[in-house]
Amino acid sequence: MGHTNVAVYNEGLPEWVKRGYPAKLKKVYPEVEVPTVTAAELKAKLDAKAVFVLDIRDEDDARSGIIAGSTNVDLEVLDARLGEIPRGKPIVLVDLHGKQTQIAGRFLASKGYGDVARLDGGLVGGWIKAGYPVAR
Amino acid sequence: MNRPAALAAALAAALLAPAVRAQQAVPFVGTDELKRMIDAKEDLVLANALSPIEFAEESIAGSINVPFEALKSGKVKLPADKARRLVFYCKGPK
Repeated sequence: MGHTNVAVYNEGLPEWVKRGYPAKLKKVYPEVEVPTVTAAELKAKLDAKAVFVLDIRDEDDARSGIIAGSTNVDLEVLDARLGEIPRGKPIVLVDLHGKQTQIAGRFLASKGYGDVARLDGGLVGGWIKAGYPVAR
Repeated sequence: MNRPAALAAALAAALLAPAVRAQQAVPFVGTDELKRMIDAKEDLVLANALSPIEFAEESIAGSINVPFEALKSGKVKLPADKARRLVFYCKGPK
């Protein structure tokens, strides 16, 4: 794109908010606590085919490795692709480190999804740390 | 996308002019430096690279939402002035 003056604020939004610097903060989605499941619990649900595993990482991350049997829909386009998410089936959300699934679950709650949990620690700190494989 | 290093690498690949990309990685800006730049009213575009779902609830005041996939596909546009300072942020280190 040809830009010459690009930088990244690497400490990120949580640090900015923690310091009390000016931010826009508002609760748009229901204030529900999305429960966590461990990697072992998720593995058992997958083996029993009793869950829809929704991986909300971006496509580049998903291409580098994904939980077999999961479906990748980037959080960025989840609203537009909501029709791909089944209703009436338990959902477990997976992200990279477990930082984005809470808000994703709250978003799904706002759309009427009632049985939603999230993988504790995400793919890296949960699934891979527990020793389970990823498919490529 | 929620890792600064990955964000920086992606931005370098997507945004920077080839001559710039060849010479340097995308630099990082710390919290104190960013606050100073904003307080000094420096001319910059502060861009939140998170999803619209996340941006709706939490953002740095004055920032705009520039989700990375939308940027790559051309659905959102950056300033036409290629020399204007762009500072991207997301959720920081894991």
